[in-house]
Amino acid sequence: MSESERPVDLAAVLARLNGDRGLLTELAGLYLEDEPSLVAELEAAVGRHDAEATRRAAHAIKGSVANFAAARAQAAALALENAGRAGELSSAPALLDTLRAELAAVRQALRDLAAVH
Amino acid sequence: MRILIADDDRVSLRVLQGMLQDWGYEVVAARNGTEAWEVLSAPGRPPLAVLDWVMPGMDGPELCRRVRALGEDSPIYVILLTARGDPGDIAAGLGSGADDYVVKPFDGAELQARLRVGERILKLQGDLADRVRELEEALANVKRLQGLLPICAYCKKVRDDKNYWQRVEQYLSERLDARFSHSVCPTCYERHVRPEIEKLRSRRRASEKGRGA
Repeated sequence: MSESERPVDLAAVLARLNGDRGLLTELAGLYLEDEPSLVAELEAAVGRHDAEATRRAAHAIKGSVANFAAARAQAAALALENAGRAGELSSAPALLDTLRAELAAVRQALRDLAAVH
Repeated sequence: MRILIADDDRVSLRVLQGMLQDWGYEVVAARNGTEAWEVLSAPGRPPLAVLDWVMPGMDGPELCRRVRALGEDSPIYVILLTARGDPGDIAAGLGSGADDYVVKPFDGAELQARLRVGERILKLQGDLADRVRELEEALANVKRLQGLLPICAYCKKVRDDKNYWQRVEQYLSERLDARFSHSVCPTCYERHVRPEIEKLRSRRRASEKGRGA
C-alpha cells in the first residue's frame, strides 16, 4: 500500500511536526477522545436531513482528520460536506457509511500508534 | 512575541500551538470565538492572532470586525486560517478586517513567513506611532506662538493671554527654548549710540577748553 492509500500518512505528519513523536501521540489521543462527538453530530444532522448542519459537521471532521494526512477519510468527509452545501442529501446515508469505514481505519492506525509508544 | 490562536478543533489547535512554540512564540490558545474575544478585548492582548473561520460562538470574520472596531491604539495583526479557499471567501475574510489569509491545509514555512510579515508591519506601525507622538509634542510647543499677538505701537510691549503687557524679549523667552543677549544692530548704532558718543566727546572737548582758558 502506498503512503497516500494508507489511512494516515505518518511520515508526512511527523515531518510537519518536526519529528516530534510525543506530540503525534498526544494528537492521536485528542482525536480519539473528540471523534465520537464529531461523528454523532454528523449522524444527527444526516438523520434529520439538515443540509447546513451536515455541511458544518462534515467540515469539522475533515479539518480534524487532515491533521493526520488521512487522505481517504478527508475525501469521504468532503463528499458529505459538498452534499450538504448542495442541499442534496439523498446520497448522504451511503456517504456516511463510507466515511464511518474510513474513520474506523484512521482510529485503528492511531490506536496502533499509541500502543507502540 | 505573544500570539493568540483560536480553533474549535482540539487537534488542529494543538498542531498549531506546537508549531508556533517551536518558532519561539508565546501562545495563548482559545477553543472558540467567545474565548478568543475575551483575550482580544482585554488589556495586554497579544499583538498577533491566528483565527479559524468557522467556530461556535463567534466566527473568525466577526472577531476581525470587532478587533478593527477597537481602534488603532494597540493594533492587532490578524491572520485568518481556514479551509475556505474560494476567491469570494478570501475577499470576504479580508473585507471583515483580517490582515492576511492562509488556506488549510497550510504549509508551515508559509505560515511562519506570513507571521514574520505581520511582525514587520506591527513594528512599522509602532515606529510610526512613536514618530507621530513626538511630532504632536513638538507641535504643542509650536502652538504656543501661534495666533494674534497684540503689540503696543509705541513701546513694543506685547500683551499676553492674561492681559499683562510684557517686553517682547520676556514674552518670547517664556515661550521658546531661547534666551536673549542684548546687543546693538548697526542701524541703531548709527542712529542712537554714535550721536550719544559724539555728544559726550564734544562735551569733554568743551570742558577741556574751559579748563585751558
